[in-house]
Amino acid sequence: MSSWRDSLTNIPGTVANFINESASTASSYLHSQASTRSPTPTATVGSASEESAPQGEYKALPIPASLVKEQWRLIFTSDANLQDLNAAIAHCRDLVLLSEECSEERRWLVRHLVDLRYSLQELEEAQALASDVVLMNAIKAVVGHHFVPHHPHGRKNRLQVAAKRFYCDHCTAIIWSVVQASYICSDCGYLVHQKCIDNVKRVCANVLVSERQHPISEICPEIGLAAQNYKCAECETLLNLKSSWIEPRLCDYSGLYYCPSCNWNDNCFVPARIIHNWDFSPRRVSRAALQEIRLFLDRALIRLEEDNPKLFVFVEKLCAVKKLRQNLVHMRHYLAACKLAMEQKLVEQQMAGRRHLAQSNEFYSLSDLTQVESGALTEFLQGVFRAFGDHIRSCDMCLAKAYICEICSNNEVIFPFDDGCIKCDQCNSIYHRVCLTRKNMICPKCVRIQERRLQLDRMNSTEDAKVVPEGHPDVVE
Amino acid sequence: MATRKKSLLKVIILGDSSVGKTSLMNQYVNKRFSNQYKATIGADFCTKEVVVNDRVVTMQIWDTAGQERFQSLGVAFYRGADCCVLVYDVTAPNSFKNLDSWRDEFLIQASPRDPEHFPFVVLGNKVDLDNRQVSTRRAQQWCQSKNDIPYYETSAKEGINVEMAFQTIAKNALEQEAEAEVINDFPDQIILNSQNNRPGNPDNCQC
Repeated sequence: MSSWRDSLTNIPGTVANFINESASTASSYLHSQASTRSPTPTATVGSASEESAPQGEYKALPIPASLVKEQWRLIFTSDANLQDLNAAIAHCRDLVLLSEECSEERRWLVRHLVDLRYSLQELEEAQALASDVVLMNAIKAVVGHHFVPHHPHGRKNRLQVAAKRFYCDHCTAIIWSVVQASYICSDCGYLVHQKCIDNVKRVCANVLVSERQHPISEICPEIGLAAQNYKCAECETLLNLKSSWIEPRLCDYSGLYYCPSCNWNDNCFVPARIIHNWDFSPRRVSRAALQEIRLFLDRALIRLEEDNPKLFVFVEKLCAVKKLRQNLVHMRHYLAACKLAMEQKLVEQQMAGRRHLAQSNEFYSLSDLTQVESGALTEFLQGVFRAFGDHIRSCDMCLAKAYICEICSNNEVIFPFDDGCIKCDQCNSIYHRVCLTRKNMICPKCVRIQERRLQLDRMNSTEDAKVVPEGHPDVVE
Repeated sequence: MATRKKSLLKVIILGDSSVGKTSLMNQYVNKRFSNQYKATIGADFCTKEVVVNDRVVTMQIWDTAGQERFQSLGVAFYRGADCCVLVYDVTAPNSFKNLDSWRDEFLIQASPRDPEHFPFVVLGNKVDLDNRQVSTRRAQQWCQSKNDIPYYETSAKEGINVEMAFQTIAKNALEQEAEAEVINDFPDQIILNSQNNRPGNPDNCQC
């Protein structure tokens, strides 16, 4: 309790008063409640985070001026009960709906709404459990992070991590885990001393990732130190070229300058450089960028062909992967329509967590791209292709849905994913490539469809011509 | 009509979406009807044993997708069909107009030996509904112009004429087989398996 109270003292002005006031009510609330019934343990923890959340957020993302009036209805403290929180959530939601799209206000409100909902859930869970154990394992929510106690030397992994040192993401000092309690964010992996937890300024990378939805697509979009007012982009420490303690360090991902405690010169590949230059060489990035890139790693978000169509010409491996994926998409249509394959869960079994690879061939995740370069993806996809092919060519139902080339009318069945076959983009018919070439690449089915349409139009127009003079003799004058 | 090897009749049901192909099959095979519409994806078949001309034969009825967006897969199963059932909805004139194209597509994809005399059966479904749009006369005229195709008016919902229609289908399918035998000893089943057939040699092309 005392630690977070202390941390509040260095908050300036009205906010501090506001929070201190509520903190005193919090303790009185605790005292009064303790005797009557078992106190709702996480109510205090939840509210502690409640306070620190806005406190941190004022810096990370200040409350918009237009919302200051509403502040008292939105921000709750330790005495918040279910009713208060529910009311605040309802109010916040209304404000979200009223606010302008993509505005700062809406951004702030949505983040705040998430925090409020989280607190509510915590409170409800705590009330349901109502045991002291919860207090120990409680999750602390601070600027979007969900901190859980970190036990690096826990029972399981004592041997493995014995040699590894952990550093606090906030103060950069070593976490002496034997004597110092620490927390780790379950979403982004932010590691922090217990004593530092309420001063965390970096917004959780998970929040940023879900807001941004796409990794930064410009290569190192630098704005320069002057535009940053010679301040660290994260903690706003004044940067100085004279002292190496506060030297500006450029993050190659965000293009912003950071102080040495926010940029540890971690090396990581940069998404924009891969997309534009097919460059996987590691660059120096800030801690925030590293955590963000890690979270983007397995998300299939990159429309590579749209972003950089020429890449498929330059990189042969990519071309091979594209073709394989296109074939898998065709195969998936068969498997999705086949009861046997559904029963065997063939797709899940083969694709595991990478179903996007066979869903369409446009989206890539960052780890897909690194694996394209290493060749692992091609190998993986070839394995899947073989497994899918084995099923389709041995399953009667799948074979029944094969195609027959109507140009040569041979009884051999063909599939859209066969070599030497070509698909008409308009009517989805499949032909042998040689057969269609002989027909000057004119799809006979499309010709028939066209003819039929013309015929139908002619029929309709003659019908109309008959009907009109009969029904409305006045029309023909 | 001496001894015959084959006792499996393959019947394909075609027609526009929501004319009642699946319902007709369900009514005939399971004697069930559901008012809920569920689009068929790709194709599926049901089997039913029927007695035709004192012979027990297994009828394999293929129900297909009428909706264009579910026709993304091939129709190799048309090959080796013994009879094709064309279904339209008597309350939807367009589904009737499209019978022509369904018939043509079928003949091209199935490429039967004698397209002129391949047995079709036309069913005008949903006669239980009030808002009828296609007259019996018009349908019969069309059927006559196409080499006297048998025509039935059915209701999958009430089970009207369904049994009789499929009896005819089975009978015609069986006759087609007999004729095929006369023309030419019916060849082995068509094996839909690329390995056993030609090894992708373009010289086999007939065009």
